[in-house]
Amino acid sequence: MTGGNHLFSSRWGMILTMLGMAVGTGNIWRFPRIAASNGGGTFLIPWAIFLVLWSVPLLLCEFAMGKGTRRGPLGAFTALLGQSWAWMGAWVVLCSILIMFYYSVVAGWCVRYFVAAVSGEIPGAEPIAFWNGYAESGWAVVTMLVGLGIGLFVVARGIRGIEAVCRILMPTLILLVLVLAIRAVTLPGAMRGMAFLFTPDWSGMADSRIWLEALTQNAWDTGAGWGLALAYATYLRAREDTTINAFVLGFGNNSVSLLAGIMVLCTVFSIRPDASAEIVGAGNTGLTFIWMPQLFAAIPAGRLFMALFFLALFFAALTSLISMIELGTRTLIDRGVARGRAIGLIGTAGVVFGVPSALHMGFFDNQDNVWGVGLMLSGLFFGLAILKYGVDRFRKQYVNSEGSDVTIGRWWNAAIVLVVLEALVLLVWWLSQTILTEGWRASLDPFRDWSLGTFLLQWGIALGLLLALNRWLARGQVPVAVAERET
Amino acid sequence: MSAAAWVTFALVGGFVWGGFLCLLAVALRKERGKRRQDHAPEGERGLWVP
Repeated sequence: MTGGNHLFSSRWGMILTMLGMAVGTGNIWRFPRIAASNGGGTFLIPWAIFLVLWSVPLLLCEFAMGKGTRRGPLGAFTALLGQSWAWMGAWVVLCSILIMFYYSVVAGWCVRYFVAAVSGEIPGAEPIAFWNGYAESGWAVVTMLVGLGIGLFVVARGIRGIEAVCRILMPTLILLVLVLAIRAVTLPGAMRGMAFLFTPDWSGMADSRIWLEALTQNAWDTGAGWGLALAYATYLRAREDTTINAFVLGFGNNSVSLLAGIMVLCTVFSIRPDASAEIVGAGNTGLTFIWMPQLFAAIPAGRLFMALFFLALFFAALTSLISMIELGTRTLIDRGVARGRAIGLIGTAGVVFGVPSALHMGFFDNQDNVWGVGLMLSGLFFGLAILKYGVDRFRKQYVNSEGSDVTIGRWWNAAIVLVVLEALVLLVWWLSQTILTEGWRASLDPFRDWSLGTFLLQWGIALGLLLALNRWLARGQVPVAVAERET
Repeated sequence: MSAAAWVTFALVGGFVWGGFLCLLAVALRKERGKRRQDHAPEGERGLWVP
């Protein structure tokens, strides 16, 4: 199995496709905000450390599982651990699919704002008015359908179609971010933003919150533990390396984040240094859709740069959305469903469950919180799966497999144990913070957008269903050769 | 920008961007080696170590 249309055509194409999966809106809107609100330079050091201690070991694990089993997360967990553990793989798939439902709304926002930037509709006299008139309206549904439709169209073309699109979009995206970062750095007063981002406060290094935020950012940013890299890795050629590719993916993703941080913070500190705290504290949508148009409007040729910014954001959203759709599609293909039919099923579910997020920001925020944090459990499940299989056995059998360019040593065994510990610490910290901040009674209310109750209720329902359906989930897999015919 | 900020910029930027570019160069070089191996005459296969 060294060739064929069901595999990536080249390493370059594979790297760009994987980068497309990892680089999403989180790199452009979340990283600058989180870095700025956690001490800038103080945050960057643990962020760089967790790239190696969380993201890369997990990505390596996903690459090896996908290439070794030739199945999506559901099939890979079953193949590795046995039928009793299919629910763990199903959780990974479910989490990413539920994120896909509302992520198509984000892709739609980017489309609308790109059009608005080109046509001159934004920022307008009252910047927040455009956002208020658009979000939760029928137009948000229309643009969501546009984003989802483009994603489904690309995934229907199979892995070679996805690769062809990423070969164009990813270099363009990196170029756009680079151009915008250079423009931002050359603005008058931009060095204030650079100083804010890179000045370390050594006393802050003892603050556990900063370390946990750095870990969380790496977990959400690189896509490690989402199962998306695993789904793409099922299409790796037999002679393809896993190790260096996993490192390239982690470092490449964080490179784009750092550029985005410079781009956003230099623009903010150059145009509105007086309101910098308010801007970075405005949340993802507030920073991107309310403040950024105003900031771009204040610089020469601002409309052009604003359009480029939203185009970059759309490309980032689209390539990540494609990987989420492919994850669902691959899972159905592993169960013997033809690609065309799988696309139809995923698309229908995407419309049905995506519309509520497009029409109601409260529902959108709730889903973003519940399944975003749910990814911590996904990462934990990956680590536990490797521990149960045997870390050393997995490393020798799957990581250092045929085609690997370098041999991974025992350090990776320790790194996987650390991943499990990190996930547990993060979950306990998050639970305790939620209870301490809101109190027992309020935090257990299941009908609020953000509460421990809503998390536990939705996770409980999902886990209960998956455990109840475990036998059915485990037994429905078709042989790898049959699945490959359908890809 | 203070000296400390420049040092952090150099360290973090060098680690992340430098790491990415170096790893990408190694990955593509290894790939070229494998491709050369694929196209080598039968008797020479296995001699070229990427």
